[in-house]
Amino acid sequence: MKIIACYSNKGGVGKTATAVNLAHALAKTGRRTLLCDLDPQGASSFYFRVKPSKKLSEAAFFKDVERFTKSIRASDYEQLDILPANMSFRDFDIFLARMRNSRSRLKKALRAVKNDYDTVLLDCPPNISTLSENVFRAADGIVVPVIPTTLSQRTFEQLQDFFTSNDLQIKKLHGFFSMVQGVKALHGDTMKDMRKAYGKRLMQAQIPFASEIERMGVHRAPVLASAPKSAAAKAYQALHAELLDRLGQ
Amino acid sequence: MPQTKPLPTVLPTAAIEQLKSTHLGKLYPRTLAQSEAVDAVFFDTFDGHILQSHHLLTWHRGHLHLGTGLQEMAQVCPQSPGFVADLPQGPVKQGLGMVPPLRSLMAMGAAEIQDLTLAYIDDEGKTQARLGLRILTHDSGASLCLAQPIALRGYTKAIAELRAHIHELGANSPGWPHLYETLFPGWQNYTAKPQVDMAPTTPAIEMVNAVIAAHIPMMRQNEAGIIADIDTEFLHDYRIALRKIRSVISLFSGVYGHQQTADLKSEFSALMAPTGKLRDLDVYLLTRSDYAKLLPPDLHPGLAHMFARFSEHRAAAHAELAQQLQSPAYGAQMKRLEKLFKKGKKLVAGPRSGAPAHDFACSLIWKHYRKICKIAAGITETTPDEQVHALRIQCKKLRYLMEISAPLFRKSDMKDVIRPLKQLQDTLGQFNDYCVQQDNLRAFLGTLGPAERKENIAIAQTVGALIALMHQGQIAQRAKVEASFAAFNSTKTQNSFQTLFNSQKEPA
Repeated sequence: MKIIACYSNKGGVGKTATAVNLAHALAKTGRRTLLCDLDPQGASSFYFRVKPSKKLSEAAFFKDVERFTKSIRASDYEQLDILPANMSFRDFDIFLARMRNSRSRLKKALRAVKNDYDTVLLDCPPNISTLSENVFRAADGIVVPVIPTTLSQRTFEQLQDFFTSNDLQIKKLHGFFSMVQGVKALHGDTMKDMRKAYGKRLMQAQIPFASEIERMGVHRAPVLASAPKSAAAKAYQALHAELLDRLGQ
Repeated sequence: MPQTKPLPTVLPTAAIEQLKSTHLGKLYPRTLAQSEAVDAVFFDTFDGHILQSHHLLTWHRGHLHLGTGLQEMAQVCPQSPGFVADLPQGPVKQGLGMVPPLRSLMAMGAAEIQDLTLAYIDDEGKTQARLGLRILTHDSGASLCLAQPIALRGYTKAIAELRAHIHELGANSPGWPHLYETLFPGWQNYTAKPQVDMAPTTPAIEMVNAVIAAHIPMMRQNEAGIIADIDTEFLHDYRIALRKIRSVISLFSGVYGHQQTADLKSEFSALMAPTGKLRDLDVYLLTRSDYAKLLPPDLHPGLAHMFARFSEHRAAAHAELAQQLQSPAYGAQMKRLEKLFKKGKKLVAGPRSGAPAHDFACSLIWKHYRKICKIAAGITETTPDEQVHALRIQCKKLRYLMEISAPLFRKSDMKDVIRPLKQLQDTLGQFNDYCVQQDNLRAFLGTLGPAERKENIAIAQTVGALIALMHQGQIAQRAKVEASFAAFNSTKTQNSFQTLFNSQKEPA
């Protein structure tokens, strides 16, 4: 089972859209996928029309493994399930620790329901910042959307510094340019500078700023399902393919 | 991930419109997908092994499809399927483990297949459950629908409601075991174990009449398959039915008048006689590979010649039997017999005709059981083989008696006494097979013809070797007889026989 975190220490960068479309693409290629909606603001469950579980906001939730597995909902797409959650940062840390610990009741429960997943995708809250080393240690890969602006460049740099100073595997970071607008000279320049500075930490695939992605909230479906032939959908496909390649899948 | 219930519910097709328009609590149905209709032929064995294991096998557009209705596997199959062993390799072939190797697949009928998927949607537009429907329609208009609710993880209430709804709609439908009957007009169910209704107090003559009346149609159902030479099981089952009839007449002696019994015995014996040769040859040909394994390669050419002769003999024996089964005289005879036992009025009753079935059966079973014990007690390593044959025949009689009268007793009780008897019969049966085969091979040697023909010499060498091997086998099985009887004659079995068949108590 691979754990992929979709993370950004800055909000509004297209993180949830990425998680939703990556989850769809992973499931479509036959991987049994669980998308955990851990970001109260991200609402990836909203895009899949799954109502948030009331039970999940309760503090005692993670003490009860069964309640975790019972909260999982099938999406309308084959091989793709959703864990709709509104959880605190503290809960999230425990969640990750249990996900990784083979002896944990959580993992046992996942096995027990015979619905072990090939990939678990975490749509992480944006505010975990430097405090949650656990996320970075637990995940096999961390996908980081970066808008090619000066501010985003700084946050990516902070993230990389954090990895270096905390002895975390920097190669787990898979940044990519998000909401790219070809007409903006700033975007072009920033991307050029960043590719030079961060090299392999940035993927080749990039996601354009597209109305189809904005309209995801109206359609309440991944772009890959609602507009599969659009440029945005193709970009997510390319991102998915490149990410799997980088994760050795 | 979707979780599916393995066996779909059979619904009348009228239920489809209802399903399409009825809300499920707060959920409303929406057609998610509809396939184009395809014409398919449904295949099964004559005795319906595939349907009994809750599967359907269809053949269309050069592909075989096997599944529990909606979920299925498929493989290429350009020719109409016959024996499973002859199918091209593929998942369907692998999945057809429920089909006995001796049974051929046959077309049960043709029908149009169309699939429909309904989704049950909530107020957010989210699907909470799905329903797979497969609509099967015969040319005559006969139709049915297989409904399989598909659960979506986390939506337990929705799937429970959908299942209850389907259950309600299908409550009066004939169900899965009657699927062919519902879909294919005129289709006749076949079972090699016809049910015979009898009660402990049923007069013995009524019970015997009922057993025969149930087995004559079984013979008749197998006739077409024997004539068409579909597989060897048709003849095998035909002979089983005949043997049951003959056993019940001879074992329950006194039920019919003396002359009546003698007439019936000779009439059914005459029906059995022309089947023996073909059956023996079938058995030889079916075990061909076993013979090859027994002999060194230099004797294989002789074996090939021998089996070529057997094949010729079999073709002739089959032609002869097929001709008889198709003759007007045979047809008239069977019709007369059917009528005779259905009504029973023209049968002359004997002194024991009015005996209650249960008591009569008990006394007979007890008598034969005691006889077996007596013969077996005298068998040692040096006892002549005739005694072993006598033991085998008594065991066979006891087995038939118990099988025929089984409906008069509790199923589990009967099972408990038949099981050890079966094991003893296995040893005795194998011993007998070795003896009979030696006799047959010797008789075959006599038919070989001129010794100067090279082929005949090769055959004679092979037959000689086989007789020697059969003799070894006979000796080995003979050595097991004493121990096999000891295993059969355990205190537990003794007590079971005593309690079941030699007490005056009414059965439980």
